[in-house]
Amino acid sequence: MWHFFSRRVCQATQWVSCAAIIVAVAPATTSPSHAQTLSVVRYGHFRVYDPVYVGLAKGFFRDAGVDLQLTGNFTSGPQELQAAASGDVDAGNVAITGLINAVRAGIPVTGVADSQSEFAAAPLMQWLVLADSPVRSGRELAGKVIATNSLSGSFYYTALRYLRANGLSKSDVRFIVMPMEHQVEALRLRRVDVVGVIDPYSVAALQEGGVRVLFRGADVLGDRQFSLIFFRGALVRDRPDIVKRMLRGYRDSIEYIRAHPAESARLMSSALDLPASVVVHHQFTPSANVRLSDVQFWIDAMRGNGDLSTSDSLSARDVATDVFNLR
Amino acid sequence: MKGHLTLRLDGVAKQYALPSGTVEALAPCSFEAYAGEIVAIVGESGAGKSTLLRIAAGLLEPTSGRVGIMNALPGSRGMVFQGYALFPWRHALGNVMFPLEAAGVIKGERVARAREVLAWVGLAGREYAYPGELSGGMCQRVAIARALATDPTLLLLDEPTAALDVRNAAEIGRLMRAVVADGDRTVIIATHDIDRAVALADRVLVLCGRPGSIVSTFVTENMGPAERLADRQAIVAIIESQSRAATIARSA
Amino acid sequence: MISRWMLRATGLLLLGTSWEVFARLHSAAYLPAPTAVFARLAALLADGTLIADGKTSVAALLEGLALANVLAIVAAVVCRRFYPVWLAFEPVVESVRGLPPLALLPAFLLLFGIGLESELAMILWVAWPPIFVNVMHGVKEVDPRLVEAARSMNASDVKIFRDVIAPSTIPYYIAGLRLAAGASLLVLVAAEMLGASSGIGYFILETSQSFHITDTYAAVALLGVIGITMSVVIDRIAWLCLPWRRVAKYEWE
Repeated sequence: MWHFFSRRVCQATQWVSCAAIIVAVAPATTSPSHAQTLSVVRYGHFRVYDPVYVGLAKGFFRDAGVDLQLTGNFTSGPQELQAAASGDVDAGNVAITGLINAVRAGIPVTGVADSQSEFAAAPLMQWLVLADSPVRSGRELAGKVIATNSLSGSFYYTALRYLRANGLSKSDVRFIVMPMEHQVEALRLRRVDVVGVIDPYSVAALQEGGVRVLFRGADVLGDRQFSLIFFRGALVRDRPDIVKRMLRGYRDSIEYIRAHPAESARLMSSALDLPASVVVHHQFTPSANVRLSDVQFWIDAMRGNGDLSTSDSLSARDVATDVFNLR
Repeated sequence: MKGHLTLRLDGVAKQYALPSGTVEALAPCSFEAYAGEIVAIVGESGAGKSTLLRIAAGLLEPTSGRVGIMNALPGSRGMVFQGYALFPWRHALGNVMFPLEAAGVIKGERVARAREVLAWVGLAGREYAYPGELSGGMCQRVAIARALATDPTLLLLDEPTAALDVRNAAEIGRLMRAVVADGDRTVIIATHDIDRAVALADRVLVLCGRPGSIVSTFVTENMGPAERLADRQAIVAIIESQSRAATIARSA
Repeated sequence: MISRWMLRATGLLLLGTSWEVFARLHSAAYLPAPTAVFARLAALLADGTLIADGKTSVAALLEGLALANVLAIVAAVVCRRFYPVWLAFEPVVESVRGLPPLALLPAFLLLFGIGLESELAMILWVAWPPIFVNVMHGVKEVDPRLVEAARSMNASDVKIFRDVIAPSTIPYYIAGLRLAAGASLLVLVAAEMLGASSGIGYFILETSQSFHITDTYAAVALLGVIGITMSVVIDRIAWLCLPWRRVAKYEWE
């Protein structure tokens, strides 16, 4: 009798075990993007050119095991940093100078990959004047009004560098803080003399006509990284695997854009709600790696302008890390 | 003792044109007033006492009839309004000075005259009190002082004792007697207080009906208390019978 | 004996203490303690940093309010005097009143240019309606018996306006002024954050973007001081203009 029952029990146990294994394995074999292997990354939603839009559309982040969620509605990088400080976003993109200010103020964030870089062959930062403006060179900027999107961003420091190169200081001009979306209109209405804008505003303005480029970021900086993808310090320290996976999706997105520019332009224009004609693809550092030397460049620029105390021992590695760089 | 004629109203009537139609506020009324006398106009609310008074004061144009005034110079008629109508933002002196300012009197004289009148009505020492600080009786005396500031020959008062207690009302009555004492001024009072009217006035005009008209005149000058009491009862009877007749007419 | 001022201070002290405790417990980079904020404010005022910006803001505020006062009072008097003007004007005032001023800020910047002009325009936009509406209402609410009394004393139209209508309207005007002052400060700071190169709003923008958080809070505290000062000044104006309201009603037995 016991033999009969024990055999039945054994068979039942085997069936149950098989079923359990099948149930456990089945999801893993369908795709790695099942809920139990996806890590959520809340990415600050800042409507500028960003490969993540292409990555989200093509599923690169899911493939890398990350559920990238566009969070919030930001109008500047520093705002995203504030949200990271309060724990409302995990990652975003921001100007290196903004990152430096945040780290100096004790906000725990770290730059992990390239977001925007200026290249001579692909300049992003453009300073525009009206086509009939008397300003033809930097020397003629004395007494003029320059619109800038912030007083702690790349545009501001780049403009200061340009002024210095032309023998002027910031007290020789008047900086006005104005969101980029209003700058070109202000220029056309002659409320300001110079505007510093990036695409799509620069592209749209030049397409519309009536303006010309006074100088570009690359003219002043050469090839220079000026914005980074950042992550909350806690994630970089405790979950570098999540950062790596997100960056894998990010790098795949950049590759895809390079290989499929037209389709990527359409995806980008749809995400940003812009006509495809004003979408201009950005160039990135190889593998979108962090260039610590460029981070140091910005630290030195801020120190030189008196925005960082010289006694402050802040260094590039306090602000960003190259740990996630690909060789 | 009656002096010269100061005011004559000849068949004055008042109509108002409202969206709902024409309303007759006052039927044709006629009377005369003389220097040295107090005339009281009594009647129920809505009979037109205030309307008649305002016409006499020159504040309302009658729809028909004529107003004849012996002294038509500005400041010859002073009016005391129901509820005092004092300017709350001016102290007592400031209120009394108002008509003197309007008359173009220079500052030094205005102040002196205003002080004089305020003292006359018994408010010396209260020149800088605001109406909000004064009792009802005091406010009424400021209003009277203001009306007297330009030395009018005709003083008109609309319900002067309505909100006052017996003591203050009696005080106002004494003031009115003092106003006409020199025989040069006329006082006309519109009131629903028949007792006070009969006790105080030389003549009582009874205004009855809707629209109101002068149905009766009682001469109470030089009468004793008993006669005045009889007149009072007669007046009440008239008003009540008119009121009953009006009610019957309305329900018919 | 607890004085009125002690009681008034108690509320502020409670708020300040809770904030101090919370900030010290959490030590968040973006919520400095009030002791740190006021210390920083003192330092920024002492070295002149906030003085210039403060002066710019206060000057713009006073200029804008003065303009709003003049225009609103004149408009109210004209509209009350000439009814057809008011009939034509009223729909415009009512529709414009409901528009959120901050949403119009970019349009104002482009219309009036960067800096003081657009700031003044914004202040006018928000300060004008409460003063205008309150003065209109005040003139409407003048006791007709007082006007009649004035006429019975042979007062001219000018005298009636100056000595009856105007004083009667003052309390309403002051209520409108309070509303206008508060709204003006709000909109000025916003305007300075968008298209200015000086002022407290500009300072707040600059320091918040560069994460000098304590400086930002110090500037906000300065705004609070300015707001309280305006309120005290208006109270004083009311006290001076309304002497009859200082006295209590006399009770006679």
